Amino acid sequence: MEDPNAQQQGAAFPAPPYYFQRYTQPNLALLEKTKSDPTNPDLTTALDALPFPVLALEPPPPIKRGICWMFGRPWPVQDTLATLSEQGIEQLYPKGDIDRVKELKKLNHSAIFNFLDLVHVLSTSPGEFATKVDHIRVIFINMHHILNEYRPHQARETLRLMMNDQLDRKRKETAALRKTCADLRKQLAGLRALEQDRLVVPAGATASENNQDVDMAPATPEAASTSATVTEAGENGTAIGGSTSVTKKNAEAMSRMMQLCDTIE
Amino acid sequence: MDRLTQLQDAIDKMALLFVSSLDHLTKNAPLVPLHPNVPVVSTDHGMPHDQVQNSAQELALDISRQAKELEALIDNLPGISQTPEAQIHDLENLAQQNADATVEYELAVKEAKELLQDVTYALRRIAEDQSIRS
Repeated sequence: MEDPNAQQQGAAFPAPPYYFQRYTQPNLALLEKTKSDPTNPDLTTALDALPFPVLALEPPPPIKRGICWMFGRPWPVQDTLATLSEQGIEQLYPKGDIDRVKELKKLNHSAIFNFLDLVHVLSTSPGEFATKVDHIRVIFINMHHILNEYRPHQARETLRLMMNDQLDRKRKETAALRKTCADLRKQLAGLRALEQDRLVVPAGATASENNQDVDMAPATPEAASTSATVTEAGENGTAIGGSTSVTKKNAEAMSRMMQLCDTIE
Repeated sequence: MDRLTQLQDAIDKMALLFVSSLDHLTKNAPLVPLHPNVPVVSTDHGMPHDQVQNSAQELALDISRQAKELEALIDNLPGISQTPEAQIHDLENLAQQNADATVEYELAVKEAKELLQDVTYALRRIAEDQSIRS
């Protein structure tokens, strides 16, 4: 059953690791029982029958230190920059806090002089080029290492700038939303005031209007602002007489409010 | 492109110039007799002497120009002004502010949605009544 060298000729994808076959229902039940009651003697006979330790069915704990392998390359679990001495390269600039600009310039000049030396060696005794090449290599590695030490700082700065951006954007959006809401409420209030005047005039309208007015009337004394504005708007609608000027004003109000609705959406 | 990457590229370019200049000179140098009695016979190897001199001049010029560029880039490097702890402290602060701003934003969105509902209802009533009237 457990054959790690299973044939995989001609398969499009590699087979899953062979231990998927261990996850049977009886095995999982055994695992649960072992976890809850590890000293039960009935279990040991069953456990010995398994070709593997039953606790191996648990998922492995995450790796906390050292190196893990991914896609064929080793990755350090804690991603830090290895110091030069750890990489086996001589460190040409002093340890501790240094003036990076000055050190980099010194290294730059040394690189050029070493190149000059290299050319000189090549013209006089070409067999001895290896030491000079090595010197130049060490200098370049040092330069790159100084720059690599900048990178974490740069990453944190970039993060800080991005978060500032996000914060500003959110605050602006909130302010714009609030302003639009305030505008809309003002419009509604204006509309309400407009129609309140008209409400008095066509008081002797048809019976249906009166009915609707009666329906609206009990609702208006409500304290809640939203439903009050809605029902008042309804009142305004029902109280409209046959006058075309009023319908025109209403159409204007409608279009304005629809524009504001669009901005909210 | 950010200054660090530019610097790194400049350093790599410098190394490349070193290699390519040596390569160019050795490949294209004319033949030189090993012994004064044995003259050079083949003529289609390498380049004439003055051309080699010219290219040597050009290559030296390129290398020194690249070195100057490197110096200029190094001068433009920003210093490390904040310690990592201070930076992390700032980041935590910002994260907190961001969370608060998100809460306020969602509140405003909720208000706006409610208002939108009311307004659409009002508009619908007006439209209905207008259609009744006309």
